[in-house]
Amino acid sequence: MEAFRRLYPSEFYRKFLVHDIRPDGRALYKIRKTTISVGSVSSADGSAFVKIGNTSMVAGISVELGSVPIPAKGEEMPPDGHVVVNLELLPLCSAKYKPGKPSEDAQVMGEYLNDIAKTLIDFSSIAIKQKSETEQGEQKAKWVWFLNTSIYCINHDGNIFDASLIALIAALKDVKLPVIEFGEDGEVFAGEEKFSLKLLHVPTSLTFGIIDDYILADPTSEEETLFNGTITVISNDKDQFCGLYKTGGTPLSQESLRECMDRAKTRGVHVRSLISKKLDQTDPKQRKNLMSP
Amino acid sequence: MVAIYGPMEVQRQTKELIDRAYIEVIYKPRSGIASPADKEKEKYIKNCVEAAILSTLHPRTEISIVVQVLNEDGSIVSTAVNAACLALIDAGIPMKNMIAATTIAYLDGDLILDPTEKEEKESSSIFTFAIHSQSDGTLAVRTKGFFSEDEFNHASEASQGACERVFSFLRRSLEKKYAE
Repeated sequence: MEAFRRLYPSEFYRKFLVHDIRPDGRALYKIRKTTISVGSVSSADGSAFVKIGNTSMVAGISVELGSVPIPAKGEEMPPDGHVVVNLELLPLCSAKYKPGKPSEDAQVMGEYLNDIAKTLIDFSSIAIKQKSETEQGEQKAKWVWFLNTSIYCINHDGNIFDASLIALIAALKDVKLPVIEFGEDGEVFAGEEKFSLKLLHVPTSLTFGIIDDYILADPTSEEETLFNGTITVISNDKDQFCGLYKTGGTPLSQESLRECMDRAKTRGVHVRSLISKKLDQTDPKQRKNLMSP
Repeated sequence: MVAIYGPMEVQRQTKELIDRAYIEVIYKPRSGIASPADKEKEKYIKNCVEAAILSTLHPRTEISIVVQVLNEDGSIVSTAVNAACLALIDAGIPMKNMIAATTIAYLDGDLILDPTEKEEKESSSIFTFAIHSQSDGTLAVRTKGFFSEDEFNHASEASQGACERVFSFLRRSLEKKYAE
């Protein structure tokens, strides 16, 4: 049986799909057990560890201040902060990835995550209050927030994107930013008070794969090799969709797309309640100061 | 502008596939080097044309599709897909069917087809749909921005009509060229 599975994976899978079930016993739309844990990386300012089945992702956020030049009058002011997401798919997690420059998967998924990350936080509401302008005259530069997020895959068993997005959201909710104070000579240091980030919306995603006419939710890595196409639907808590990516060779009808969108919404409700439950449970920990030695 | 090279010998040995041609898409922006955003566009374009090309007729070869942006004023990805389809036919690469793509944006609640760069910047959501000539249904789609389910469904229906127009344009261009 094992030999049949290795030699003819598509035929092996089709034998199960005909009966609306998958080799691991799941129904076509069943999603694997999802667990989230926040604050596990003590050296990061915010972190989260997410597992969907065997797929494991860790997200860590390090908060930094950067000095951004203020452009000449008339030009747009630069934003008060940035969330930069770097998705790392290392050979550690799967034999698919070789050392060296980032794989195509990592770049493309990183791009999707960055698109979402840009919409999550309203930095103008937490902008750093600069030193008063009257003292120095024209301000040349301003301090802005940089939330550098690294998401690492620890184990790749399919559906990296969903796990990455959950990890990103949970880590952002875990981050505590210090109130920034200015010293006499203009040096910046982090005050004692800390505040959490308020996210503008909470997106979650659900990825599906298409084999022949079957649509499978939450694929494992074995299933991913057999697909003719994938669909990722990203929905949020404001009853909107913030992304829909369908790739691959089989055209899909309107009804199938609609079904996927509905399932993504249901999944979103479940994931968001998981995240809030986890965040309520975690004790607030001492975070390291921004500028401490 | 899209240039097609192939079927030719595979440039990187590791990419060689024994049962089919390896299809590569290289997207070159007007200036500068390709960024991860361009990589995403490459993947989308590759996904659109991959299904249409009869790659099993040319195993162990490479078909290289190079997209060079000459001028960018919105709807760049759908333009690239349409150009790639025409270029593939012009190159004589065997294909099952034709692909057409359109970009649709929602600006202040109104649906607009084929937005310009200025319109794209101001819109609340942008969709790029691709369909192929032999069936209804969406072949590939990518989105930016926020939208509701209804907006998506309307955009999807609009794209069907728009892609039909693109197909007739592709056919007319080909007929003109091969009529001589």
